[in-house]
Amino acid sequence: MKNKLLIIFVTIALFLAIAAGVVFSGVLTIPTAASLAKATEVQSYDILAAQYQRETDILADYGKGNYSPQHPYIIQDPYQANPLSALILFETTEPAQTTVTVMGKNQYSTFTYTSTGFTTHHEIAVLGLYAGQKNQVELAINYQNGQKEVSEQTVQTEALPYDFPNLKVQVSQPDKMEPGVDLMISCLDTNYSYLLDANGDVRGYFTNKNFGHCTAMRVLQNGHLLTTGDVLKLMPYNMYTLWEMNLLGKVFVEYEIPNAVHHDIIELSNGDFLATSNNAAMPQAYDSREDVVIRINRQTGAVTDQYDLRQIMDEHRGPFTNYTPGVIHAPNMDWAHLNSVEMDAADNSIIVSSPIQSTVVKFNADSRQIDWIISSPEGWSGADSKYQQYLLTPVGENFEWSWGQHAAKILPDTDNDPNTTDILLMDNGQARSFTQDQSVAPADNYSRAVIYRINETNKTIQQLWEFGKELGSSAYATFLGDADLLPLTGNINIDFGGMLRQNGVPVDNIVSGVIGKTQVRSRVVEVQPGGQEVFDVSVTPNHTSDSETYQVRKIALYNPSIEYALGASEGQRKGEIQANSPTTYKLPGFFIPRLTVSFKQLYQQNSTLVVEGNFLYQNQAYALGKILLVLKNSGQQYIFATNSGLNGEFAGRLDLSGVKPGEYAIYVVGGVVDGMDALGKIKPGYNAAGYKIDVK
Amino acid sequence: MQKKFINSLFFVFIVCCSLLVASCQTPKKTPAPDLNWQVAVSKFEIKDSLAAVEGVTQYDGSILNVTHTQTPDSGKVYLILEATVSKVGNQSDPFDWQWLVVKDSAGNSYSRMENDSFLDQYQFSPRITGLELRLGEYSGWMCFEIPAAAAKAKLTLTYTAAGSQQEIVLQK
Repeated sequence: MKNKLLIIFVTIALFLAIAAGVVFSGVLTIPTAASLAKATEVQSYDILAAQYQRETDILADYGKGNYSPQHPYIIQDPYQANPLSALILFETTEPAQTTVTVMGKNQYSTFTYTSTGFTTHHEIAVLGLYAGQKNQVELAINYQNGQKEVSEQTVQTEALPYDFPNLKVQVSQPDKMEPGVDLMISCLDTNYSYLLDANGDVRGYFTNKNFGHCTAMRVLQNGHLLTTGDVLKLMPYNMYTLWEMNLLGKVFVEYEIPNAVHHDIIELSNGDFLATSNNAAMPQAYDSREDVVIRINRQTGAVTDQYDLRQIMDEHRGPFTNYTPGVIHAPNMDWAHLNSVEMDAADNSIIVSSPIQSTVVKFNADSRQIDWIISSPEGWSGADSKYQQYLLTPVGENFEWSWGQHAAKILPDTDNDPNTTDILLMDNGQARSFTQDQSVAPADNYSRAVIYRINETNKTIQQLWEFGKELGSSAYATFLGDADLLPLTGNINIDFGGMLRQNGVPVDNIVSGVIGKTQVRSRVVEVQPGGQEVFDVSVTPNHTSDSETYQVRKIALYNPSIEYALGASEGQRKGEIQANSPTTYKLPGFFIPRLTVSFKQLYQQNSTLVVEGNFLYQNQAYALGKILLVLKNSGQQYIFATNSGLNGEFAGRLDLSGVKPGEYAIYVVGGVVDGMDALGKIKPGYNAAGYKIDVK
Repeated sequence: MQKKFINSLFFVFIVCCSLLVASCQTPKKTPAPDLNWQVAVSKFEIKDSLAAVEGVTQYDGSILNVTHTQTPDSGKVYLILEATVSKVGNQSDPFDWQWLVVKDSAGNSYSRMENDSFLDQYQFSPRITGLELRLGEYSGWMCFEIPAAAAKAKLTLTYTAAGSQQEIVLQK
């Protein structure tokens, strides 16, 4: 009897040991042929190759017919990027120069471009079509032999998308406005970047909401548009790539920037770029972000210089801001949040704006020595008293300091005094105080564009001009925004970019707005120097919570860079690709089905996997979390950390170069942090993501 | 007796299966030779309204459900198609949406809605662009608004551009 009990006991113990061994070995998570068959294959994608292929296909299709000015080949949205654009192709028997005219409602909204040379093969970009209309496009052909020909074409476009923001034009005086179109740049990935004409009509928009996040778009000397691309390094806008592109959506050069770029980028006189950026090791191996300015060599794409604000300013200075919630042990301290950069070539110095510190700092590019700081005198005591020597003394009347400012730019010299520098910036006015108890409530606050004159010898600051205070809290924008001097008219284009509203009432919860929990509106006003409004448009959300305008840029719709030959060459890729290498993590031996993952982007680009997504933990979004991607088959497993953001967001680019060729299931592992301490214990989950990847 | 009962049961099962298959909303494809543009419909749905509940996460982590609705004009329904439009021929003629129509049993034609961008919001995503197509393959959803009475009878989808005559029976 005893022996029998012993045998049963040993058998059960053996069975349990084997079962435990099986369970914890991870064998239960090895993908089966059936599960792989059900999984969705990750696609390969490379925007440069895809666009080149598209151009080749267009030319091949065009080659199947005979096209003339009266019967041209028209392809709408040729790069599937801007639905209010088209390409017109045709041949002429004699060399000719073409003029394309996109008819508008009046002379200020009619756009014309004449090609620079005489050819027999014609590729004409059509920009500025209206949405949901039969657009009239005129082609005027001027032959070299003196003959002329006109061709009228009609291009029917679709209505704007259902979630396109609502635009309400309150003032429009086109004859007093700067010529061109307003490029309305989005910040959040639920909003569009688009073009507005002088009447406030949409004349172009980009369907890809993943590029140009919260970063300037600037027209380069060569006519191309420069902004950030669509590979996200860290939420919500630190992007791995820069795109040199045009308004059709064609990318000519993609720059790979390991540091990632956010907020601002400018072209220097030699063609290089200066950008607000990060330490390249951020976020995995560097504990702060958005506090470095980088210089990028235009020819190679390499980062050739870095200006680390932590070596110039005090990262521990802590003014009150509305960038909450406060996260204990935040993995990447955002103490500076640099949002603009400017080069003062006169003395080789750099001017940066830090809205979190409510400071604009000028420092020498060689010595890193501070020249001056635009800042209220509040909060420069104790360890920071050493910076008091750089603070400027206000002179003159009606002076007010700027708070949470954006877009600090040097203006052209108007007083012929080499000792002075005029600075235009957007004073958002956030809090208007260093401390919370003294801060101004949003309902009583205002935002404004302001011009300061700084006397660098006397270390004084004078307020020359302002606009926006008179609008009161109706235009109060806690965050985002821009102010540009327009060169032809002297008007100033002002963007009240991030107007946070709850039930129409101004509030200050920035993070809540960024993650879609509080409505973000915006307003763009063009004013004459005397303060008369000549354009005023309000932007409100439509089926989303966001209608922010990160910046507004007045640009010419056409410039000569729009002339290029289809299929001549693939776009160039420059710079250094950064991707996360495999890491270690103790994987559970079995699935813990608590994670629901959705991918916004998941594609293989050469030897990397681009990832951007959101996860829920037991169907709920948590403030803090960590997601790792596991590539697993019967023989191999590779674990990659992604970069975490708030509210279940994750992103990154994973290095597949060391992954053995084969087919892998993709799993997600990780979870959420209980509480608000980023270093806290993770509540785990482990799920199949529903995808597989074939690594060659 | 028992065998007879089992046979009857089997017969009923087969009939049920047949009915089930017949009731599925899958269109009958009518292959047409020498197409320049080919339309293939993978499924379609008829809806008298569309509703979507958007879960908006609140600061405290709770979810606020916001309901969105979209309704056709009075007496009409939405016919929502998932289709693939592919350039398969060698001619360079574009795919022109005006030649793609739904026809009812009385011979009336209905064009694609001028603006069906709302489909994305109701999980009919991706939507096929309504721009004139020149090349390549496009897959996604599109929407027609048709009389509710017509939706109960025979419906066909036709594309009648030169070189691309095609008819797909959606329902008999």
